[in-house]
Amino acid sequence: MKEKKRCLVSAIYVKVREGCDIGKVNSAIQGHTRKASAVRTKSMITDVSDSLSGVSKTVTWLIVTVWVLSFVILLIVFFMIANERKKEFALLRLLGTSRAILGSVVRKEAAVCSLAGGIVGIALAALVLFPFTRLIEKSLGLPYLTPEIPVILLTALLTLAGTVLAGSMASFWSAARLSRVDPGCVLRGN
Amino acid sequence: MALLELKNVSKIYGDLKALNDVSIQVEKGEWVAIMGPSGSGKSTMMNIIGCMDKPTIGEVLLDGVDISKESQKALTDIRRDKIGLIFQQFHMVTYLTAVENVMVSQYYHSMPDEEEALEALDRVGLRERAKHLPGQLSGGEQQRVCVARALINHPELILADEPTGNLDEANENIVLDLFRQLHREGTTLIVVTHDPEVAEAAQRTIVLEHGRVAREVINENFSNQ
Repeated sequence: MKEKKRCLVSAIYVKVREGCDIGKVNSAIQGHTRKASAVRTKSMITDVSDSLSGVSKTVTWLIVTVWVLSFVILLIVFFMIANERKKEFALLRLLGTSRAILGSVVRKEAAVCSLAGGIVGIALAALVLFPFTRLIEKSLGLPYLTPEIPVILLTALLTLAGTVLAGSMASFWSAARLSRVDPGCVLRGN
Repeated sequence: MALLELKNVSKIYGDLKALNDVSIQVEKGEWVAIMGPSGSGKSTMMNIIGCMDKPTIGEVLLDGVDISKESQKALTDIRRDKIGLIFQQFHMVTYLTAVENVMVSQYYHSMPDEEEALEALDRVGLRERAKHLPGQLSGGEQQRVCVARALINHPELILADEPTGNLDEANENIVLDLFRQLHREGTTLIVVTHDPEVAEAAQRTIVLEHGRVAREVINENFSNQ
């Protein structure tokens, strides 16, 4: 006797439109199927969804805060470096460097440092994220899916561009200050 | 022919006249020392001659060009092309070697040329120390690197501010010998100093007091040998 082919389905999730009456959908499924029971899982799904959106919002705010803080720290760091190197730049002015060239030297240095910092930061983030996905998932108690490679690459590139931009912008003030130093006074220690 | 001429130059800061109606002339190839007590106007005069500042009143003619009317950019170009500066505190870029410090001056003037920079160091007796950082050089050696840096672009005028102020007697003599050598080659030297011995090495000494030229002394025993 030919064995009947059996298709086994354990569970099917049904996504309903926003505002749709889940009870009605539930009854309709019950009325059209045998041996299968329709269970309302709204609370289960929405709980996960709410948690994920909460985590997502927190992460978004964290990212914004980190970027703002980084920018402020870069401003302070470049200000301190500018003070440290005042004599060096005053000397370059005396050797005939124009203000414009001096400003561009400072901005280029800042861009190169930011690029190097960005690459190191992204590499470190990748080192932490990819091997420890499971651990992150466990500690969050939520599904944690790594995006696809093109998305990861795009994120990395955007982060790198953002880092260079933030570093360059943070150096503008210092570059302007350094290019306006009075070389004679600085080198005499006045 | 005068390389530098200050005509009735005054520099006024509020109520203070740092320079008060000063007129001097420095001939091409001349070696002049500027002396005076603190606050006499030496630094102000050096700043004006070195194109780092402009007078409030008066004219400053450098090689026939009135630099008191030039823009900041033009002053930077004049300083780069015509003036070699030497300071008491040396002011070397600490993370660059001796030869790189000399090449920095070339970089912003024309093109860096390591061989030419090494020749300049050779001239001040420091070729073997070319790859040393400033921290690895003595004060005298650093000042000699600064002399090499000042002369690498063949300036018409060497302007030195207390060039021997931080040096011992032996190094002071080495630097003065270098100045004698430059003078023999026709370079114009203006040396701001407190040290009477350094002033005596020059052909002429201009003494400033209270922003005015108090007197000028011709050195009868001058020799650049």
